[in-house]
Amino acid sequence: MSIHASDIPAIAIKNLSFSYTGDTPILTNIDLTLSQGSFMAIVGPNGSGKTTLLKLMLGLLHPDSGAIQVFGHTPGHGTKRIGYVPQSASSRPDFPITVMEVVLMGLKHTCLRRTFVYTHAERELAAAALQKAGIDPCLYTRRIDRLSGGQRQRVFIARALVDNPELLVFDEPTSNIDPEGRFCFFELMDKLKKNLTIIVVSHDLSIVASKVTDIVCVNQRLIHNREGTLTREMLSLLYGAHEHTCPMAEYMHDVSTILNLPMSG
Amino acid sequence: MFEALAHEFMQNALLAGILAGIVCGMIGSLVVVNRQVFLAGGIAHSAYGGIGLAFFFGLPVMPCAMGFTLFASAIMAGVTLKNPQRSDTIIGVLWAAGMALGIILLDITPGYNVDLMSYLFGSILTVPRSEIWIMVGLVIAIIIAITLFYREFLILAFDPEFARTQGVHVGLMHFVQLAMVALSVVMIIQVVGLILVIALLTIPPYIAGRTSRSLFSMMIQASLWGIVFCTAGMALSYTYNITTGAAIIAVATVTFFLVLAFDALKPKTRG
Repeated sequence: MSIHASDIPAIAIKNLSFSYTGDTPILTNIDLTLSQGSFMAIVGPNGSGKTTLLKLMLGLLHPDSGAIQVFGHTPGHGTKRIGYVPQSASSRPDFPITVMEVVLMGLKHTCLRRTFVYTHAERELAAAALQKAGIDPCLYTRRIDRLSGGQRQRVFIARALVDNPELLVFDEPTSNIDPEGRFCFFELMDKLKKNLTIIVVSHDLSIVASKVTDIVCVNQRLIHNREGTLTREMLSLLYGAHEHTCPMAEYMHDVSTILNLPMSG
Repeated sequence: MFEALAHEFMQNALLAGILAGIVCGMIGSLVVVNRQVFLAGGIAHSAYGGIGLAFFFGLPVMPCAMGFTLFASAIMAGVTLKNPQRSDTIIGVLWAAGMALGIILLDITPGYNVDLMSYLFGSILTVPRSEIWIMVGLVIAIIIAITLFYREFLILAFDPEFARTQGVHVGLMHFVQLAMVALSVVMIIQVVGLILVIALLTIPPYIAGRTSRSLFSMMIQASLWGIVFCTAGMALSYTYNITTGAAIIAVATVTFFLVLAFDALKPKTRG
């Protein structure tokens, strides 16, 4: 794996807690260390704190207690090194904007520049990112709302890649795309993970089938498995212990069979 | 109609229509892409409170209305940022409260007051040359603001969540945007009145947005449509002796439905 040698973890979280209202905790005393070059999936049911954890990493939220660092810096200060692909639903669906202009939006240094015009070099960067994401050049001048869900997903990935990030973060990347789009997404992840640290947030357990190196299970607490498998403890955190109606071993076997997931513990 | 342009009041009306068209195109585009039509309506109707204050205290109407509307827009901006789930209720309250305040103040203002209808439905033919200069200044200020903050407006409108990660001051830009809406609305009230201002803010951008490939081109096209509607409406009003504001909106509305029909009937293609 061709990642530049560094002992600084991509993500370092220590004893972090967070709540939106002050009374109902979303995350409680969580610890997490993610090495550079990892491919991590953060899974958990709806409302478990996955997206909250992601926003803390991006510096969009601040913890009530504890510490979080991204590449050794406080989140917000090192965001140039992070490429973020939000849920596709966060963007306006029928906005008058072309594929190229969406990707150019990802160049932070141009984002707040006082001019309408992009330079040739910037367009070259955008084109390179679009090529990496597998978008055909004939689509560069097409309006984004004229693309399929899978194509739009790739454009947003190109937007995240255009500034050459070291960490790529996806929020529910497969929630709004069809099975073919999901297949293409996982193919792209296989290519990108060679040179990047990747975090994928999803409530879909089948996403762990895409050869992740780390799985983090979140449901107010956090469990991190560096072997890329689901454990008994993780499933219990996700779904609760149902041993009185379904012994855990049998339950885990059913889940792993249905989802075709590697299991341990 | 061309012989009528020899008169200063008609020249002022035409200039006011053109300037309002430009503003509608630019600000209306931001209103439409940000899905803030109801918010813009709330700001427009609350402006009536400013008009009432102007007459009650004997102040110039346009500056006073602008000041009051800026204040109302700041409250609405704060509410929509802090509590978006409840914002429609607050907007509705301010909408009605502004109207009620204006009507009450006009009722208790001694002496003869201007016809209320002129602010509800517009009075483009009575716009004086002095206010044309204020409108010119406003248009220039809005063009400068949009030019300087275009990228922020663009990214905020397209993807607010992503905008935060790019360092855009989302809250500040929201206030700036609504302040521009407030100033524009007061200007457009002169042309079509506050009842119909929403139509002029939304129809030209809607028509332009269907085919534009950028927010910038949407603004340009919408401004041109706004100018066409205003001048065509004035021509109709002059020819058939009907209320100018309503004529402008009638032209815009007919065009809107023709465009809808055209879109429904044409074969669907990607592009």
